[in-house]
Amino acid sequence: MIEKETWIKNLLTELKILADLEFQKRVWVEGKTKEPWESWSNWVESMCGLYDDCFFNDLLDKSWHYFNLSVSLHLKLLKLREALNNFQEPDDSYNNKAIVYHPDWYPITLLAKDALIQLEAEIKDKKFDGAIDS
Amino acid sequence: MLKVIAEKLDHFITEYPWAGNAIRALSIVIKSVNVAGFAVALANEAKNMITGELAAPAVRKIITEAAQGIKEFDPTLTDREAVVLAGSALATAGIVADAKSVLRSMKNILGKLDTGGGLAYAGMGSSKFKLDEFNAVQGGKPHTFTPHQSGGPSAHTGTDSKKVFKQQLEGAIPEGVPSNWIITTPDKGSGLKYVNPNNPHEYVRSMKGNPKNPNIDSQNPYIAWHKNGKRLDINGNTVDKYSREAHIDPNKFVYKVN
Repeated sequence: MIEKETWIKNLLTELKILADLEFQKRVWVEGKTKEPWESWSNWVESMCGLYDDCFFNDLLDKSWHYFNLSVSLHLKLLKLREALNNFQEPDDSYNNKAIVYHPDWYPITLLAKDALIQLEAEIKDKKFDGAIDS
Repeated sequence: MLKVIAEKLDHFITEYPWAGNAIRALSIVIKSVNVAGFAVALANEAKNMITGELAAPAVRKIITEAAQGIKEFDPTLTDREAVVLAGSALATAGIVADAKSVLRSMKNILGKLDTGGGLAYAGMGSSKFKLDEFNAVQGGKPHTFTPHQSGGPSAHTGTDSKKVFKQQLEGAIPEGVPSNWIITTPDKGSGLKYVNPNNPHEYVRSMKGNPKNPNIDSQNPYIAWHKNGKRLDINGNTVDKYSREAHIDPNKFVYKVN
């Protein structure tokens, strides 16, 4: 059983990374880190973080009501998932450069940003139970 | 028996010329290895020969052929056991495209077998498999490798043992993971995932890392241990996901009930 706060916090963490193309270029592609944690970030970890650690499919298909996600946020996350599912990563999924500069990737970061803004607003409005340090 | 296999392999080479080196290497290995060694050798020798669009059908073909070859060695194995053994060996060796592709192909084949299609017609399908299915054909032992394991590829190919060990370790089943856990792949991304059947929110991810990553920390294989949405360190303590402690050295990881 994952606590609601943990689930949402994990989602927030991954959306922040996915929404930030400049971060991806700097850290994933160029390897220029500012914080120690950044050196563990890459596309594969973000995908595993979103889909597996956040149980993204469960969240969107089963649990979103329980988590008090708004219909609007739910729709934005559904769009993001659809775009990610359709994204054809290179054979070498660790090739961050090919991913970040893929023509289909930038629109995905925009969808992530759209969802992130909504999620942060709903956290600020305390739509979710418990305190989430965003 | 060897003649039958040779005929099958000849046909395979005709269809997939790039696999010729792999198959030829097998003719050397085939005399002395056990079935596990056979499959691992196939995986290693086929490495780097499968690329691009050929990957998915080629991987399925490789798994099917390996399974058929394994059954020649041990006719008591079922089709499913042979496929699990061949596919797991390919995935464990961490080669042939990537482990995710190998497991996806193996699932497809197993799904086809579930419908009664038979090994020779294995194609598209979908199913998961349990670790103990794999262990059953390995003599009940967790499948881990050492640099010079009897029957392993390094003893036969002369490849640098450290390099081979590293490649094998990338997909090796983490130590101590219970045999009834489910092996699967992440929904998106890479690596292998071992899921607690009694708690789907507990799993161990085996990640190969990326030697080309500009960040040194992300270059080596590691284990990621998750329980109930939280990342655990080697001792089972909750740690930050993006921390050194959350990326466990596969050589040191031993799963324990937490």
